[in-house]
Amino acid sequence: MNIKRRRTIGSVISLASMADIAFLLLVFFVITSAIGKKQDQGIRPPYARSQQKLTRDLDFTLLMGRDGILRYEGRIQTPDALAAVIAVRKRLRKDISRVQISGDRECSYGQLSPFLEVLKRGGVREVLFAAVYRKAPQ
Amino acid sequence: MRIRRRTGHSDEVPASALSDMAFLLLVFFIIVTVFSPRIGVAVYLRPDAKKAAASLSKGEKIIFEGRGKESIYYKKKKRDLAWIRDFLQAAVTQSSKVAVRLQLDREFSYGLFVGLADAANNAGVSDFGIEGRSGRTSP
Repeated sequence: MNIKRRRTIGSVISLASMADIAFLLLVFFVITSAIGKKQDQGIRPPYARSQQKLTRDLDFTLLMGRDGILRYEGRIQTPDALAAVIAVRKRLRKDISRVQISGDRECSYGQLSPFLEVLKRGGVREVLFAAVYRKAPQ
Repeated sequence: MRIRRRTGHSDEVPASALSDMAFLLLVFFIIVTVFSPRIGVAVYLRPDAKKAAASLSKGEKIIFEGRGKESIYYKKKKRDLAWIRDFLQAAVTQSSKVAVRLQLDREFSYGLFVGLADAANNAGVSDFGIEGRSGRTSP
């Protein structure tokens, strides 16, 4: 009897490792994708119900951490230093009409008020306070 | 010579649908995940705030006092933020010419200050300002 010998090498590609490869690629892109890095890390914003979404930080953003120290582009600001920053921005024809303040909810109003006065004198017309949405802020 | 007949069934579990299932699960979790959205509470700094405040009549000007760290008073009665939200909404419904002024202590909470600004914005108050506790108009 003539028996045909079977070939040992198959032409089918195994798909079992496909999921692993796909996930590895996904994890790689998730980690490396350039999501706009938030500046206000470590700051716990106040709660609000406003409908105005803040998808991107404004160009002119001031940060006020729990310590109540105001920072602009990483540098500590005094009211006089902030006035100088506004003057420089004006000279460079950068927008100063809108300012974003990302402050920690534990700060006090007194820590902010001298800076608000400076902003007002400098020609700022709108201050956008960063907050997080919560239905019943208390 | 004895030849063993091959059975048609294989013992291996097909893995080709595994990637589809994994991706479906991933898409499901991406859709279901909700991040707390960031919002912005706008406060307008008016250079003519002092003049505008002086021209307001008594009924049009609502003054909230922020005493200590987190006490809010309206007409010498302590109020909470929920009450203020409802009150401002009712006030704007009655008269669109409502102005809100805050008189805040230095130690008053920044979080509550933003909450008050948010309450005024949501109610539709267009004239919102802050006065010093001594009555001096500040931003």
